[in-house]
Amino acid sequence: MAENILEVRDVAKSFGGIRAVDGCTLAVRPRTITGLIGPNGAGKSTLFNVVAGLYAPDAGEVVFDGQRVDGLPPHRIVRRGLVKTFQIPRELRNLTVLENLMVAAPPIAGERLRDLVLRPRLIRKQEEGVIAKAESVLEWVGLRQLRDEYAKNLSGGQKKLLELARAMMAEPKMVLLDEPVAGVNPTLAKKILAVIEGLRDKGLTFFLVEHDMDVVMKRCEWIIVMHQGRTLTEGLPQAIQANPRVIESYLGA
Amino acid sequence: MLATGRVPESSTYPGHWGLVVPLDLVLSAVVAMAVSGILGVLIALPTLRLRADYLAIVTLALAEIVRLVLKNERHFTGGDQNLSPIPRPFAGLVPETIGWASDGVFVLVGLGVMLGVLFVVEYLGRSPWGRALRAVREDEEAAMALGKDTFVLKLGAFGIGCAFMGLAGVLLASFQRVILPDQFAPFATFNAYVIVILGGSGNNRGVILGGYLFWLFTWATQQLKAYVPDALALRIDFVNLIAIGVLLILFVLFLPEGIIPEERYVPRKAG
Repeated sequence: MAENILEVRDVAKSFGGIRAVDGCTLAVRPRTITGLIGPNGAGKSTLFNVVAGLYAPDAGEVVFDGQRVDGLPPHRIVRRGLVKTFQIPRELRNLTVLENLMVAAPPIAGERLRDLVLRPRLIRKQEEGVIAKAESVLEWVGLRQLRDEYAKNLSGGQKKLLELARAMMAEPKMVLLDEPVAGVNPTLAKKILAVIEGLRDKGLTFFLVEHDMDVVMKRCEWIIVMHQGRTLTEGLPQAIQANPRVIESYLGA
Repeated sequence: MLATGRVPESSTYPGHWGLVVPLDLVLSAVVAMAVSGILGVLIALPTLRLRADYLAIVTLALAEIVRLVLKNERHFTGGDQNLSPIPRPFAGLVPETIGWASDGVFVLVGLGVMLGVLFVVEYLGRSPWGRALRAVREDEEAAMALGKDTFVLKLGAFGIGCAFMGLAGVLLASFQRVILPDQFAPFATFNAYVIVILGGSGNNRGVILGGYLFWLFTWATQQLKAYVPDALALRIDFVNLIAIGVLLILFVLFLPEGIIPEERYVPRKAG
């Protein structure tokens, strides 16, 4: 079905004897902010890692933008327009903030050894473009004054913003956000969420895992609930809030 | 890896041709770099998937295998019979019989090659390719999630490193005017590690400084032989080893980035 930007079909992933994801099926519609919730250990992060290509699924299919991506290496999936951010920011510590963004730009000639030798002028031109773009993204997430700071020196909240900014550099169609506002102060959280909503309005799709129910209920248009490695139910925020099975899953029934 | 990188250049001297023109050295440098680079990539293909420490073990083992193969192979490399005399650059202009002149010319040639290599390595390090490689160093999984093909990046770095080792091998063979497998005992690899750790593994100038300091230190302990009691003079090589070992430990503990740490890369402002 072309109307879904992401479809996960019967995906399974085990670690040793633990079936972290156990026949999960779900779909995400384009230009939405879709939430993925569920108790700890429901398999949300594992599912994200499978979709992003960091883990190969044991079984099942992942279809992104009309094409199967399961089993592809992560960099191929990123190039198709699906980017994931990490729950705990994975900033490139000894690179500057600007460099962190520049690394995330779509592949440029300067990253291929052959072109480094043969096309120095093209590389300089592309590099200027990448710098300009990285600076505008920094401006827009409010990290401009930290342009040349080492990423390791940022605060926890700033690192979250850096994750988001980096994801934007890759020019994605869809972003998987693993707890984008966990551990972030409320002011910064609001800012991050405003950025996400602005991008959604520009046509991006967001699929996010978040434990802050307030955020999920207010900001997500559609919510999918995972429990024990599969989809328990899905629906509008109000419906999910009222669903006794969801409450049960959280209470450990 | 040093051995695998450095040995193949001997293949350009299958006999005792008595070459005198630097062109021959240039040619053998090109061949050595190509052979070493290709060999490096071939070795990297199956081994780069290993985790860093296992990769180090495998490359050390491979270096030993190559050394032992060359040691026992007589037809092509002469085995322990060695290949000599390998000419020095400009040997036709500056006779090798005049030691100081020949050495002086060699210093200049070596300096030139070093500056050339430094230029290339700095260019690569500051390029988008170098940036992507630094991203891999910081966090390989994050680099993957940002769309980098980390395997291809590492493969390229490995190949280039091996090609430069081939070049270094040409210089070494030409300087010592002889090449034989035991010049590449594990010590050669170990020395290279020490130089990089002392000087600064993230900084090219640091590595150069580390090289000078290391050999200066080794040279100085040799000079001491004349001034210390015989009992100690006989053992000075071991004292040198112990001192380097202690230095290594101190550096890893207190100065892990080396004497000259990595410098911040600041891309200039756009527009």
